[in-house]
Amino acid sequence: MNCGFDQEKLGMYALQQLDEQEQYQVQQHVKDCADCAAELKQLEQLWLQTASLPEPAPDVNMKHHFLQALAAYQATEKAQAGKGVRSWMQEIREAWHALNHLRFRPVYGVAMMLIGILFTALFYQWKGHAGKAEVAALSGEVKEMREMLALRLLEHPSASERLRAVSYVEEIDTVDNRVKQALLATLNNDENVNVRLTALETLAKMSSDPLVREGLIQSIQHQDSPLVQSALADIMITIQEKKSVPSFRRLLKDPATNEMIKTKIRETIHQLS
Amino acid sequence: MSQATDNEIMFRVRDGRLDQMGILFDRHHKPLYGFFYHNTGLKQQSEDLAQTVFMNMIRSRSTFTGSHKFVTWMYVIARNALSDYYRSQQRKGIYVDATGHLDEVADEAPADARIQLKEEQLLVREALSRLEEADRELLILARYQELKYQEIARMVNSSEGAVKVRIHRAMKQLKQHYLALSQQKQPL
Repeated sequence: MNCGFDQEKLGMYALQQLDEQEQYQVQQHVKDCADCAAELKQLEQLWLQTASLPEPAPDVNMKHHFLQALAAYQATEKAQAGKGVRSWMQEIREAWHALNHLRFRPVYGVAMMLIGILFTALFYQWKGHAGKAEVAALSGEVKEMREMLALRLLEHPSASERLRAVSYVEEIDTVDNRVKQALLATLNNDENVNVRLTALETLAKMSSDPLVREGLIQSIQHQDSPLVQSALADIMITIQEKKSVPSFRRLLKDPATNEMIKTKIRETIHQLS
Repeated sequence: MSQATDNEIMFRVRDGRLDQMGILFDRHHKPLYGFFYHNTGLKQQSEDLAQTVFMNMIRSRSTFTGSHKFVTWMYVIARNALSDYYRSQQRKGIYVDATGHLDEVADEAPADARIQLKEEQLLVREALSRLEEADRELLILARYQELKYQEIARMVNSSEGAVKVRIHRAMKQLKQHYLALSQQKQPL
């Protein structure tokens, strides 16, 4: 191109980045200059083509996945922030929110019950009656609700839902034996290491219970993940559980056990005996 | 009743109403996904990256000041996520090859999720994949996301004039790649 016209300006015209006066300049120039007109045409065509490049539609479940991730994040954030004073209203609201994520029908029955409880509660509050006894009973029911919800969620196919289930258990003050058993089963059988680790963390807080203690000891030989094995070793040292030593010894003999973990287990056995 | 602006909603998120991010997700996940898709050519990864951006915005919500448009902030985080992704791949610009097949075997996108591209579109896409990462990113921000150059300049910490020049040069590069590719195709 020998016309000497500002090529940058030509490009900017194609990119629709010029003001009116500059646009006019370009338009006038390309009327007379065939080279620049051809160049501009090519640029404009390419510019149009880039915009018309199609993209496949994103997965319809994207929002659902996002909400799951968000809920899991909120649960961990809350757990980290420590438990403040929570009203039973909040408890119900959250349980209800979690129920909304469940797709299977029997749970809706539970949800309807929750609504019933909510309205009963609102009624008593509104009437201003001395509803303390009722509220206490209600808290009990909410606790039960949470437990049921946790039990159901623990069987959910999605790992983030199962994680949420474990965090629910954490918020229950005194946990039912059924829930403890379910958590132990999760610790032993869940395919996801994160879920197993979270279950272990929660169980560790209940280690004063002989059932949980025994379950944790039994669990040592079921674990093949070095992360979980290591966490179990730490817990056993914290609670000074000498009965765990034989289980650790078995793990030591297992050729599949990671060498680094073996060193840790030897230390653990040493500290416990 | 007028709708709340993105910035207003993001302030609510910043103040702890995390569920409000769902509204911003509805408004922006498609273009954001498109940004990643045109950059990487991979559907599944682009969905994951878009989700990562929304979660990262929640994690760093306290850094949102509202001094610029929400979208500007979102793309700053998106660009970081993209460069993290490139780094984690340890190779540059995994992209759809000229036949429209994904060149990464690990991507499980079913065949019907791929788009049947016309010949010309294939050439443009291939030419786009031959650009430098940074140039491609700029072009996509300007072209697909329809961001103003002023906003892009803020994102990349540069002046509007510099961004204009860079985009123009990227466009010129793109044209050269495109012409070279179409000449390869011609003598059939």
